[in-house]
Amino acid sequence: MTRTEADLREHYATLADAVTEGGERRARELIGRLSLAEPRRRPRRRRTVVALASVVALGGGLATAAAAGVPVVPSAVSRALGWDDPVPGAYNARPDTAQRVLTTTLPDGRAMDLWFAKASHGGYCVAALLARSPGHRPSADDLSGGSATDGQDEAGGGCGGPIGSRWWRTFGAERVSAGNAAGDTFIVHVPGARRVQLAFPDGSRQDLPLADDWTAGWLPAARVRRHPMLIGYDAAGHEIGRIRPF
Amino acid sequence: MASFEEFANTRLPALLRMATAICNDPILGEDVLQEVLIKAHRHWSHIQDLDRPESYLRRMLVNESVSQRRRSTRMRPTADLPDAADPADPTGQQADREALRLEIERLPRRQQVVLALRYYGGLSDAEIAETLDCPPGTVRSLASRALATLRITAVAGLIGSEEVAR
Repeated sequence: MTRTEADLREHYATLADAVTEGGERRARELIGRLSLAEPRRRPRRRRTVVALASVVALGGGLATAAAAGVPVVPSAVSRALGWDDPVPGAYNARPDTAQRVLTTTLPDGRAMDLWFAKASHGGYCVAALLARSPGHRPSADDLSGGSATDGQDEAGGGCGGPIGSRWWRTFGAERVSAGNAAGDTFIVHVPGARRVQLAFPDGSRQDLPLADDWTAGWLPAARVRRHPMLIGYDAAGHEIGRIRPF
Repeated sequence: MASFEEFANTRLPALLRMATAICNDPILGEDVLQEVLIKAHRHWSHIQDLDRPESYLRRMLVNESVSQRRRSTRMRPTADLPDAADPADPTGQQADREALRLEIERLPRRQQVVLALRYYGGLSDAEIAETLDCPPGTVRSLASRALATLRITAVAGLIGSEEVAR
């Protein structure tokens, strides 16, 4: 196939035209919310307590990993978190802080692990790792970076800025097939939640795994298109937050 | 001095399109821009005093896009592609565009960024170098390698002739 630079320009022009009104509207809404939100002024002591609480909460899980020595991280995850390719000025994962926070199972029986690591400059990194086949457990020696059709484990993820101790956010929805069904993975940070569910427009609910303030899972495309709401509850069963994971 | 809201609302469409081009993906571009807006709002008192706040935000877009997605980490769909030609795309143009998009996605991140800044943003190599915080020669090298991988012959003058000859 012969290509020219004109094809590249056309590609980018077409891509830029694909920006949706919805995307622009959501960004304008965000700008509005940011502009309304004045920086909160709290007594310094309280801020320190909140910060310490966050560190302790996060450190609890990390301490477990540290107690067992340096965490053994599947190579697919280390590549997903970019350890082999740190970028100056960007958030880069700290290998010593990596830990698997939860495991869930896709409909075809494959395990999906959610990994978390602290990043430079106060950021964080998350990665979802899909085992190549049901019953297989990825190890540090596995090849990585390919798709499931290559007979390899898959991992996807990345790094972002600091996450607040009360900030709910979604991260890293990816299109992944499970068996014959296409669907999307989701990773959501739900600080404070003790139970999380997906609520669908028809009233049905689906419980989700939860560990260290994170939840993750996979939904077939047909259910993704129904735009479920992720709802979190505290220990007393009161709703404390909701967010759309897709 | 423009407020954050005034600046962001005015430049939003251009920033969103640039984020989409840099990420090679509209959805990811939207995510990256939102992250950048949050950070830009937090540091607006500093950014608004810069000579070129838009250049600074472009640099933030690039850094954020690299942070959010690295080339080797992308999960890919595993469903088989259909063998038969799509009746809605008899000339195959749409398929060609998608093939090019996927090939760009497989390039190393910095090569992707260089292509987007050059062929969408229309930036010079010097401007791209400033954005990526690297020498212009590195930009030319990244572009040359990306074009070679995509099997695109650069027109002399658009990139250094020395690089084209390699």
